[in-house]
Amino acid sequence: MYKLVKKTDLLKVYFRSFLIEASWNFESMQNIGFTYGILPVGRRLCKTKEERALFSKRHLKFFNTHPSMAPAIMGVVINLEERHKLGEEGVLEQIEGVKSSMMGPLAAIGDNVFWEYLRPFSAIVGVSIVLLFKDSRHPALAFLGPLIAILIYNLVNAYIRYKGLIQGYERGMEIVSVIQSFNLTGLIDKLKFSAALILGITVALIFPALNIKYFATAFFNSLLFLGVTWAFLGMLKIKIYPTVIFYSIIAAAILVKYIF
Amino acid sequence: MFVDILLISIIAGIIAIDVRTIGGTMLSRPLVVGPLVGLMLGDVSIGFYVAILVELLWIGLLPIGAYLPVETLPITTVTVSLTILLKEVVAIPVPALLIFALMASIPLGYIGRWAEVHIRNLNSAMSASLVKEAEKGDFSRISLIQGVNIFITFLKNFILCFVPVFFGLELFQNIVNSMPLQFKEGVLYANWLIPALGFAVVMEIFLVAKHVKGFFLSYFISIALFYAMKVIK
Repeated sequence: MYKLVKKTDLLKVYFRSFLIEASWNFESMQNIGFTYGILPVGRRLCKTKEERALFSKRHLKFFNTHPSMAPAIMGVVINLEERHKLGEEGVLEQIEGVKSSMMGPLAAIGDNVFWEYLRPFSAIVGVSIVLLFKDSRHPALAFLGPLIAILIYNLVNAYIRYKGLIQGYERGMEIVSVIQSFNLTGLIDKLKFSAALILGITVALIFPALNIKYFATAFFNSLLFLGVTWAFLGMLKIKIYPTVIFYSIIAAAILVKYIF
Repeated sequence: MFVDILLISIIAGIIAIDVRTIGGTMLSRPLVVGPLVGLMLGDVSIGFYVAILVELLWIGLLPIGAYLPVETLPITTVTVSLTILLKEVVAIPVPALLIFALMASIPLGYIGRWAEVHIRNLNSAMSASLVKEAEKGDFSRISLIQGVNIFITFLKNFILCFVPVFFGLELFQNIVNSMPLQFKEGVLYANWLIPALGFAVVMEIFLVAKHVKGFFLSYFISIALFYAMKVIK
């Protein structure tokens, strides 16, 4: 551990890992991004031309996982590369197997946690804050919306990336159980519950911001919004695309104007 | 005007690097881009409103595996720019103008996705050339390809934001001006229905049967607090 690879190299790898999707291609997906990410280690370990050629060839093979989970795999691969350089036998043969056995399960966790739930969740928190403060007495507070959304997403994102890289390097393949111990799927259930509460608050108090004034009693305006939202939810449940509903709403509104 | 549009397109292009390149740190989401463009053109509230609409409508589309979602960045940027630049020129209410601008910009999201497919096919060729060149043991080529790709992403989004606003502004203005009155006023009915659709999209993701109780509980508590606040005042 840390015999050849220095902490600064890992720091460089951490920042480079953010660019893993830059050269995404249909053939080998994130292969260029992955190799680019671990280049600082490659520069440190491989000094001769032949070594560097072999290093590039090893890592420019098919690779695809969730970007936030990629640093964990990079960490394990760096660990193996260092052990190879230190003279351990049969390590290089493991690299391909490690990559292909880790990228599937980690991508499943990452896609589910980060893209299916965490990103919509931070967005809905931001949107709710903007809606509730946009037309209040302190409109500047609405800027908190985007700020908090960025913070929520990236606190988890940056932490998992950092932990994954360092722990992956220090513990090798054990990293999979480390990531499982974070209980990210438990996080999803908490997110769902918090989102239900936040949606309740926003749907109840949104009507002044949207200028809904069909009834004199505020409560009925709020109920109207809830009812319409519930109707749209029904349409989405039977798999009508949001874009289709969007254009239909506008067509219907114009039609109503023509009739009345 | 030209400088404004140029500046916004450059900023949008830079932020776009986040979409695929930095792996999505939320910076490229409409929620952030909308207010930013609004701030630069001097009307934040329009920026916020567009941000909310676009964010909610496409919140459920995820870039999982090889699937490419509609690109919301050009949609947001162009909608906000068109609305703010024309709000004092054309004689229709701002919310109606905003919805027409949104309708006109949605195809840009699909054009962006189409361009992305071609860029990725080009990347396959670059990847193949890299593997061939690997024999030389030169690392700098890998960094070079990454840099080229970041620049291509910037360029793509710069063009997607600059061309429609700069060349389409007058066309859009003429179309809006020549619309019948029923169009201009009828759209106002849709004004609050679109956020309702947005919330329905979010509920479809988050509202599982187990938590519906929690949703209604917080709904009625909020209403009760709303009235309590009124009584206190």
